[in-house]
Amino acid sequence: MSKAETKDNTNVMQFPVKSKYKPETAGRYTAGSLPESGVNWLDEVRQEALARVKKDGLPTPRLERWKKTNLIPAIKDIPATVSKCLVSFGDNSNARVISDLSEKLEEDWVRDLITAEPCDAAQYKDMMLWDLNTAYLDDATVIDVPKNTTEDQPITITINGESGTFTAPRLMVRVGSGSEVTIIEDVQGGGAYWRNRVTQILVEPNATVKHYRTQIEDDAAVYTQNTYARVARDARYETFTLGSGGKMVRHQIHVDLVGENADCKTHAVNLVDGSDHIDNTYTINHMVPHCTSNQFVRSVLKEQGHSVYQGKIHVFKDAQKTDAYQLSNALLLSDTAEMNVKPELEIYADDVVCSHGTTTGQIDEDALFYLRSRGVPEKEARGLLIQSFIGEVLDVVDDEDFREMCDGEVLRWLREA
Amino acid sequence: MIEIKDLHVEIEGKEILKGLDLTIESGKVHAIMGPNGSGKSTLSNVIAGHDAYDVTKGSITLDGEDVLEMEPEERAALGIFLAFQYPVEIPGVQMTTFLKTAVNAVRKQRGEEELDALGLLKLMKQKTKELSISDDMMKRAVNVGFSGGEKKRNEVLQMAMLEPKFAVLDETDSGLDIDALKIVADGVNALRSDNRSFLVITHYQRLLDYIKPDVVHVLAGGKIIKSGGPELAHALEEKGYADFIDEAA
Ligand SMILES: Nc1ncnc2c1ncn2[C@@H]1O[C@H](COP(=O)(O)OP(=O)(O)OP(=O)(O)O)[C@@H](O)[C@H]1O
Ligand SMILES: [Mg+2]
Repeated sequence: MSKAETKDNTNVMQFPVKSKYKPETAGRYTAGSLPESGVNWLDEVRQEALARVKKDGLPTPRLERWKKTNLIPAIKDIPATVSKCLVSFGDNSNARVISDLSEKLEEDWVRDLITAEPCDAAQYKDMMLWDLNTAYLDDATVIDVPKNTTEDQPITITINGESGTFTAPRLMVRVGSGSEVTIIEDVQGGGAYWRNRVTQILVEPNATVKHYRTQIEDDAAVYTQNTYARVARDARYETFTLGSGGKMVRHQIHVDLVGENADCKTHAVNLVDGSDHIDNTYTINHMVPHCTSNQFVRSVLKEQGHSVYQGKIHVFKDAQKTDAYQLSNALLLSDTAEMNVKPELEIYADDVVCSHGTTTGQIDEDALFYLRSRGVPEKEARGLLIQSFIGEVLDVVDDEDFREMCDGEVLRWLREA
Repeated sequence: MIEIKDLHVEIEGKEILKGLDLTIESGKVHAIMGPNGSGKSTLSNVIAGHDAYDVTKGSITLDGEDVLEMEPEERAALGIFLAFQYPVEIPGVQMTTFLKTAVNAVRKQRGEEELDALGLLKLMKQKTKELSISDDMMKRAVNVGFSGGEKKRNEVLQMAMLEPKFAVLDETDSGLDIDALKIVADGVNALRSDNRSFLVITHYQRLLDYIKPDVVHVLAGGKIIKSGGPELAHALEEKGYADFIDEAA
């Protein structure tokens, strides 16, 4: 029995078959020689990554998953030499589970993870930014949570961006069987910089990882991140991102559900104004039976804001009894804002329930009048309707401080409206 | 006192109200009855400030203040309240948040001190009890999943909390069962006072047994074609509109 269905499928974009865009070499980034780490195998991995970047170039809209996001003009004026980035941790973060990569190089899982790739990498051949990060692998943080431990306090990692820099931060996480942890990635900065991040998370059997992120970016900033989670049997990976601002932001999530009863939830709220561009590209790979996934993204756009959501559910042949959903809703506050949505189901198993839905709409004028007729001033009424629209996604966050930070950012954004 | 003079209203180029006059003294309750599509809700919406309607001529004043110049929220602050014929659902906005926002928005504009969480809770508890509104309803989003009758009771709750000077009830009785009708009528009667007036729009004389009007009007063809005492409602219920419309023509 096949129950793949499509619901309310408005505003789905069609990609052109031929592209007017030219391939872009990565010459600026691959010209010099890499600084050596002194660890042979690591330098080899980096050289190989660099060689791939040389061969493949940088991603352009010629590529399937980059049709609506053009990185090249955005990074043109940012220096290409890699800088060190400032990584810091929240006061309550458990320092015992955090290390620098240099302290962890002997551990097999770390070595394996450095070269690990999601299973969609081969299909799309667009891992250039990931490779570029690996080539410059230096500022890497390792979080290793042992088995059967519950971290009461979230581990907060803050990465600062300085104007005029190109950085390649890396985060590698392993959460042992039966453990629970909340990891918060807080990204801040001012000015024109490009941060090209890779975050890899291993969720071992029966573990739970809540991965919350803020992506509050300067209007001149370029931010790209590949997040990869490999989720084992009976384990849960839950991620939420609050995206706000950024000249060019691309967050790509790859999840491999590799053990039965694995579950993942990928959520995001995007606040897009000015000439910001925020792209969320999610690929959920259901590789084994009985796994569940849920993608839920809500975006509010105004002025010339542009947002892209590409959500893919890939159900492998053996992955019977898959339960997978995705939903994207966008609220357009101006005629000049643009939302592009591309839901995609690739299903090879025959006993699955998958669905996707997408809507793009305006503020409900009837609700606005109703609120105003009760004395609520127009601006406040609009704000309330916008807050309630994104509130449904925000409600997945169950860390109070993080939620407060998000609410604060939402209010700030609304005030500037 | 609310005074409506020679009101002409168009929607999408079609004239709906064609010179309507209506004056309601403070403390009085007037009722309007009229056939479907005669413009009763149009009048309600224009009073509340809906911008889909064009007022091409005429005036509306409340205690001498020009209402037509005001935004809907300013009218609410001035003391105008509309109980909607079709209350709007607002997913994601909790009833308590909604009431708190509305009450304080109005208080602020009226130059009164805003209520704190406790003060609001007390007020809410008292009013919901009077209107037999369950705590469960208050935890839900505004009107979402409410039955027809619950929506109407919710309108009266909002009215009770916002304490208007002039309230329009647009078919607040439709969709109510007999018990609910009594509860709603009691709620309205409890608010009757010398400095508050009501315009009750209804199709059924029954409501007017509970909320006794001072004056009953018949609206047809975009105008008030007849006014009288409560007995007019009985006559309408018996004979229908046709006779009155012919008589006026
Ligand atoms: N948004 C609109 N667009 C076009 N026509 C409208 C609109 N709203 C109302 N009308 C028209 O205006 C006329 C008056 O409608 P209104 O809702 O005021 O009637 P009513 O007296 O309240 O009727 P009912 O007893 O059915 O509630 C109707 O002919 C209606 O079709
Ligand atoms: Mg009506």
